[in-house]
Amino acid sequence: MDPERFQHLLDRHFDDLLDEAGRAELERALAGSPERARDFVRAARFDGAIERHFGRRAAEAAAAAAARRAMEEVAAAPPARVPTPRPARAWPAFAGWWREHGWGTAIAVGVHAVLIALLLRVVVFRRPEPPQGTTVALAPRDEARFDEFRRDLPPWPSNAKDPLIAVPSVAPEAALAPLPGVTPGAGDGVARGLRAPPLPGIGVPAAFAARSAAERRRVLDRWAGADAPAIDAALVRAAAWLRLRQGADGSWPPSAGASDPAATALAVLAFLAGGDPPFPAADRMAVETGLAHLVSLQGADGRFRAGDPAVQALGTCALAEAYGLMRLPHLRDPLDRALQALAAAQQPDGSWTPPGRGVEPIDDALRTAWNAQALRAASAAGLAEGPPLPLVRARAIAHLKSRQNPASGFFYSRPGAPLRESPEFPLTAAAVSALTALGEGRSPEARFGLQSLRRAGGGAARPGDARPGETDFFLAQAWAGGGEERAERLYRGLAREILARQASDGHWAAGGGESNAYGDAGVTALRALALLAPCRYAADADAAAALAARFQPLELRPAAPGPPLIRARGSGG
Amino acid sequence: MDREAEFLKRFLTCQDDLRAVIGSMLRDRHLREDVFQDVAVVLWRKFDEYDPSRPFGAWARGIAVRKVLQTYDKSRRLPIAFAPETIDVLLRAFDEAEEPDRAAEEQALRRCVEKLPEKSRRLLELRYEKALKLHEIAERIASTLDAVHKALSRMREALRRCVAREMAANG
Repeated sequence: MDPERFQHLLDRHFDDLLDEAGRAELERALAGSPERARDFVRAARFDGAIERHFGRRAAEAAAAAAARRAMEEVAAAPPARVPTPRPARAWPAFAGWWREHGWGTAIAVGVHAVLIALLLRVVVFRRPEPPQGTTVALAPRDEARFDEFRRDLPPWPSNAKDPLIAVPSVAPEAALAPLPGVTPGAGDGVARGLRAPPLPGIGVPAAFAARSAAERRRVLDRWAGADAPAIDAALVRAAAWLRLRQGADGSWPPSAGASDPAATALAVLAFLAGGDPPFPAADRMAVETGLAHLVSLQGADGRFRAGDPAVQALGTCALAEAYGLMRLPHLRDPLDRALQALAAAQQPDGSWTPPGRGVEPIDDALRTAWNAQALRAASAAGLAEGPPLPLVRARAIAHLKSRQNPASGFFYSRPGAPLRESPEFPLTAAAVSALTALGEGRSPEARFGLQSLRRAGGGAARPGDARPGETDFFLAQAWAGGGEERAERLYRGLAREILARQASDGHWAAGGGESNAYGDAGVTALRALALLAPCRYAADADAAAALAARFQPLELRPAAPGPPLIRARGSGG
Repeated sequence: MDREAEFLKRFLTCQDDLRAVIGSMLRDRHLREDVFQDVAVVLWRKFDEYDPSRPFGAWARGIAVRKVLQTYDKSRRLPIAFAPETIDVLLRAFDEAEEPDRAAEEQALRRCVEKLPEKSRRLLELRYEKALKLHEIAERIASTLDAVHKALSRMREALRRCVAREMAANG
């Protein structure tokens, strides 16, 4: 760094004008050259000397002014007079006492009188009887949009008073059985009755404790501070926009005429993150039809479509969160098969990228990160305790850690790459978020990665990032779960940037490479998920216990017919 | 010499340097004064642990830096501190850089400030005596933030050269 530039940074530092980038540049210069560090010390001492000099000048000037005032007062004062003693009189003595002590007594008497009057008023006062014959009119609910879906619903039991909230009094086994005349198989998710009522007497796992409206309010207020109302408004606008963009088949097509499970899975995840379990009817309908579309795309081998492993992971993640939060029994079999496909697609090195193909590092990072999210959702739903998922997790963790540059902390960077190299920012955000999702958020690698992200600017603009929507999501997840000391401030900065990019109708426009993958619907869901990152998974045991108290104890059904590969947590083996 | 007198002698010698260390990392004057007071209290409490074979200034600077970092932890609204490795580099530089003759420097600075035009002196008073922030100065003198910053930078550079010249001339 040339001396002029260094001097410029020093001046800005001592004038308290240095921004994050400038501070980083100054730190680099100081760390790189002892002579620069000594220059900094000389500047600090000289700055202190100037301040000391002006402080002394001010003190001397103040002392001189005080002395001058004292001299003027002495010169202007009249000659002192000796007071003549007067004989004491009764009335002036009482007047003096009254002036000094009487006001307090008078005020105390007045306050007591007012209090007694108020008390009498309360005792004597009688509440007037309300007028008889008052009627309350309820406006009819506008549910025309859902009527077309309701036509396909199976008939409800006769003892159900309100089809939206009543639970049929059938045994769990009966509720689990396929609907009459339906044969399970590939591509028949809608026919298998995904809109059947939830199991009776079941609850929401504690890991999803922060999904309730009250807990989300508490968490968002803590994380977003004064920005919380703006985030609330943005989420409401985004949800409204997403509801209008849902297709008749339940999907969220990324572009006109196209259909992709990724955008649909993202939208389902956004509704699951922003709802209040058990969800309101509108959200429930949107999610259930979206899930029906996803399952209709699933093959017998559990794969949603011959596509990217990231898409498979997204679909699995949506199914797992929906199963954990809504307890739809019909999701269990598609979810088991999706998890088996996820495990089968993992490579021996822990990645989801087949060897020998020309794949960009960003693709490998995003695939691993989305699969980690799916594993976390499955674990939160109580489904990831049986083999081989622990092995899948362990391999993924080892793969991610092997991708870190031990010098810079960035992931997927070249060996020997310079510190604070920004092109690895999105990959590092994805990798750190994945480590957090896999339970390694407090590991040295994850913390070093978080530190590198923070020093590279946190949520600042990232030129050249082809997938900013996913970077925002993974970055928010990393701040929310990694325990970084300034996480709330960094989340707030990122949230402000996201809010600034929202369109007036509530959506976030896709750009560059994003448009091909997810479209506006997927990117809107991603940004909503980023804003909701602190609330997606319970951060502490108190919150989990608070929500668990609202629900019945969790009881998962027995495993599906046949020897299951994935077993439910606490299901007895 | 009793312990209190010994402590005071050492502390008064290095207090200007302690203020410089704290001031280089914290720009808010009130906060700096609070931290300086805390550092003085801690130094006195821990004076029994001080090893007289080591320089007192280096020991005191280490404690001052820890206090600054604690202040950052308490108040998250503050700008980000330097990284720990950078702070180590700065502490080494404080140890290595030769301390100026404070009395001679003060005399030279007094003469140099007297030579400044009234307008420039007024600007330095607003910055260093009234402890106003740059945007407050800009509002007060109806100027821009950038113009104030440039003017202050030029004046500091001019003072630095003048003081060096004066100190060289007076031995």
